[in-house]
Amino acid sequence: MVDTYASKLYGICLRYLGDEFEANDVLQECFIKIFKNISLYEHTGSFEGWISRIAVNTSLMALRKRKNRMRFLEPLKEIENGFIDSIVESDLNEMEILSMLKKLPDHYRVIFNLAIIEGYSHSEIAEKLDIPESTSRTKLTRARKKMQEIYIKEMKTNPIDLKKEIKRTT
Amino acid sequence: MELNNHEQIIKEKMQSFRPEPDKDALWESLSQYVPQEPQKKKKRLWFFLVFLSLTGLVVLLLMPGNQKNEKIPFKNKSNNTGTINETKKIVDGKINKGIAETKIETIGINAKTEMQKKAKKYSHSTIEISKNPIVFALNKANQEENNASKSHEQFVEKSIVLNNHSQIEMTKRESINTLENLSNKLNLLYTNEVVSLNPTITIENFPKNKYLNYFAWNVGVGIGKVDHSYDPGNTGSEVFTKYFESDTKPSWNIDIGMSYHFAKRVYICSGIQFEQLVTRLHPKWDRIRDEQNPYYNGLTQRVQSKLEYEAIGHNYQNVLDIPLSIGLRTVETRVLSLSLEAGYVLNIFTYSKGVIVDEKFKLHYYTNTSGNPYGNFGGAWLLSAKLDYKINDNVGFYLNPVFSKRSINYEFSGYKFKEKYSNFDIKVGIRCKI
Repeated sequence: MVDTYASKLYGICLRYLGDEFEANDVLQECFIKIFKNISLYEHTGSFEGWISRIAVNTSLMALRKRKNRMRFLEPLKEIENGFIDSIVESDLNEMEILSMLKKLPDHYRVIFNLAIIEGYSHSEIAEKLDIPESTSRTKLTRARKKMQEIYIKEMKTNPIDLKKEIKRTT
Repeated sequence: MELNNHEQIIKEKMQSFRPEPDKDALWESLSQYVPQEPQKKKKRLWFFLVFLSLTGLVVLLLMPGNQKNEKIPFKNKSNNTGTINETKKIVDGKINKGIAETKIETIGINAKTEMQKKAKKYSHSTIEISKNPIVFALNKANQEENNASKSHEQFVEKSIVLNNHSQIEMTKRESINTLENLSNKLNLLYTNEVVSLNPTITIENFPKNKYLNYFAWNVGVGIGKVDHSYDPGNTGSEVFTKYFESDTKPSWNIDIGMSYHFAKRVYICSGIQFEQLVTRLHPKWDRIRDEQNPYYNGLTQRVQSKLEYEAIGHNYQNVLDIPLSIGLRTVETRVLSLSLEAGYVLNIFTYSKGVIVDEKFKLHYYTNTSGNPYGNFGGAWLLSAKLDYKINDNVGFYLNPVFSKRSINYEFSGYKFKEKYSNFDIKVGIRCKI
């Protein structure tokens, strides 16, 4: 089981925590939880889904321990509308996306992961994070904008990628 | 929730994202959950038992009871080296300029002669001393000597001492009282406060998994400075200590420790530490003091004493510490953790060698001759904090200040002594995966 699912769960931990060392620690904790609670698995849904939820929850718990975890009121710079459509993400590989995710503040990264990647609804996110549903929506909007900001910044600081990007868009 | 194009791509890519974790480390940490766990525990228990047995063996071998008792000849060196170079005297508070010097010389010489006679009368031929680092002790001879001469004492309240034709008014009653207290006390309590700063470089193995139960060990060596700050709890020892100077050579220690971590945040630790404290007495001692001689009526004298000890050498004190404490990781973040620890340390004084200076500045050379191993035990309460900084999965640093309050009771020549030490050590450690 460890060999089969370690990579999958490690990917989840990395996405949420954005830190390899911490992700390794949390991964260990995930497996311990899985071992201890395996009798609770009801065989109704997919096993992978069940252990993924454990990984998500354990990562969220680890994030809660962080001091700077929930700075929801961080101001955002406005960015141009419409730029989003010009981004051709298919050029980005997983590591680059992960690197962008890492640059998101913890609270935005959590929302982005839960909503965009895991596909949780706002009501589910609100329940999971113990926040109002409206807050979840606001955070997601900001997280999306922040991702775009990071993407723009990345392109500016990486001329090769930028050239590629220009070539593609023209 | 509707996803736009790029978000859809991100979702797909990240859902199929399979980075490789450090599987070896993962397996290692999860190994406690696989079936061979009982066997592994057994091995660890066996290792722990061997460690305890070795510790016990070392303690037994080093116990003073196993060492040959010695009787050390009493060497009274200060009789020959202590001199009174100059005396100026005022009798009963009356000043007699000009003629004072002649009288003083006479009385001074007489005093010296009589004091020497008394010292001879009460000195011991042999002396048996239990153990001790540096203390300022009264021996029985001095006690009797003081008592014998007590009936002749008549102290003045105030005296005036001539010094380069100027008058210095001094109240002497206080210091006389102190001497009197000294001679009357049968059980003296000396409370010496010692502060030691002992940076120790330690290597400690990393936990395989901080969420599981695990053993950790550490080895370390340290060298540091011990600062003897004599802050006596009784008035008696003030008489000695304010005139006497000593300093210390750097002490050193070797430290081997083990700890068992459980319940995520709690750990118990034990180990063994060998420590050598070395105190050096100043070979030369020069002072001028105004004092009253308790053996003669109303004698106030200015005494310039110059004691030159040939080679006092050093006082050595070897201590074996066996701590047992419990710790709690109170704060824990990704890279930092703070633990608090409290416990008790058993101190075993395995060897002592040195010299004791009594209130007459007589030197008593001694080695560890107690013959009673239980008399060499001491104890200390300790409190410590440990701040860990993790650089990565393999290396980390820690800072470990330790405060301990040590208390030793012992008997020397019929007098009971109690010493209290406040020790402050700092351990600086490296944690690494081995």
